[in-house]
Amino acid sequence: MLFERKTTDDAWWQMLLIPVIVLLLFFSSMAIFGPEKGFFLLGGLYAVFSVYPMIVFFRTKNPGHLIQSAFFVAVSFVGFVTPFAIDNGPMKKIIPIPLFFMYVSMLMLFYQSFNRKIKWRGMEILELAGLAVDSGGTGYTPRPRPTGQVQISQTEIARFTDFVTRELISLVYYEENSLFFVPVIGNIEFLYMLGIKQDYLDETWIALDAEGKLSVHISEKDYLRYKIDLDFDHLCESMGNVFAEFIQLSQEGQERRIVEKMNALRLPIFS
Amino acid sequence: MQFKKLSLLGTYLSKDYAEEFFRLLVNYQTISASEAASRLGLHIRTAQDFLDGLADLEIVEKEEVREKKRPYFRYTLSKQALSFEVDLNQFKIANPGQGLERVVREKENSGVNFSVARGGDQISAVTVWEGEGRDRAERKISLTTPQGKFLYHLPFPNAKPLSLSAIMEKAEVSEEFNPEIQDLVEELALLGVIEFL
Repeated sequence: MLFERKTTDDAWWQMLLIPVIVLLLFFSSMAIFGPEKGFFLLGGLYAVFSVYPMIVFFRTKNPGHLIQSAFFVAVSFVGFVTPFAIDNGPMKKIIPIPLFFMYVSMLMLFYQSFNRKIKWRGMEILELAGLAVDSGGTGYTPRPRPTGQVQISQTEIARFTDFVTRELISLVYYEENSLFFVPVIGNIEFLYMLGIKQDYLDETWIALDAEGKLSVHISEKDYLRYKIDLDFDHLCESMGNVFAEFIQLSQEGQERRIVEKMNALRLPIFS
Repeated sequence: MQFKKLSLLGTYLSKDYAEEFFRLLVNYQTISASEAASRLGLHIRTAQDFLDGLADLEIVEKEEVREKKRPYFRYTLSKQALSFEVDLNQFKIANPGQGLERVVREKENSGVNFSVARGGDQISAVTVWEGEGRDRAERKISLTTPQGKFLYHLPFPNAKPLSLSAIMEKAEVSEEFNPEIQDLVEELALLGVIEFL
């Protein structure tokens, strides 16, 4: 699909910050304390890092994060075993095993990443909402906007919420009479996953109440991600329509098409 | 009874010494301010003001007398019971302007904050900032459920404006809430949050 993007990305380099820092620490440690300490440090860091994707997996059931966790564990093993394999150490014959797992899980992780299977889809939601909206006027308001109604049963809601969570399209929060779909936009997923951020009402969300009525709230910072001033009223309506369409596709058992629609935007993997 | 008269009566009835004062008035045929003041341990000016107030409200009669000295006033209770009735409907907002047919929408850049209720289907409060500089103060207007639903369905700035009745219909707010909706609309219009078109 050829189209002109209406949103701007967050700095993609933020995603590379942690790996770069780890490598710097690793090489610095090797240079200062010797290779053994450097590998131990690498193993320790990746052992800690492996916890986070595991948390994401348990909270979203997204299998890609399980693979990411496996990769981190494999790197951690390599880090801990390598010092004992250097200079014909006792682990010399064992080292190929963690290395094998590391490369296999790394290939699987690359596959997951390049196919956007571990990508949070908030930017795609913004982009899809912006597609149908013309520029002109801003009219921003922090109020939510009712956008329509969908016919959906409890079973279908359960199926849809499982799907959007697993595909990282949005997080789902249950309130007394409504469900809140909160697309994660702008590299802040860890705040939600680690429970640091619990209040989402100031963020962008799509609410579905017990009668199937949809409401949309777009936060000011997310609205400012659009490169041009879009008519805010139409933008909210459009975002509601995007979710109404997602719900309809889910009801028809065509969840695959939802993913294809988002992939067709071809947004950068780290957006 | 007029509301202002009633509130004046309320002021007198709420005085610490009111009960004791009425005890005197009921049991004395007539009483002067100095007699009442000495009996109740009040300043004569306080007793005078209280009695004059009751006289204005026609609860006591005020009579000027002369007893070989300069004239003074004696007060006689003229009512043995107090009862009052105020028609609160006088405050009911009677469709100002075109009433529910007025066309409104949110004003752009109103600079207020809307708090969404936890259920996500209504606004629970509007926070406005009034004043300038150091005098700037936050004012939070908590909304009733019908008001919250109404505001939730208010057209966005730049969106097609709607009449109050149309918004109330969308918000499923019945007409019996018309006065409280109009009260909110008037207030928010004054604060520059809503514009009439």
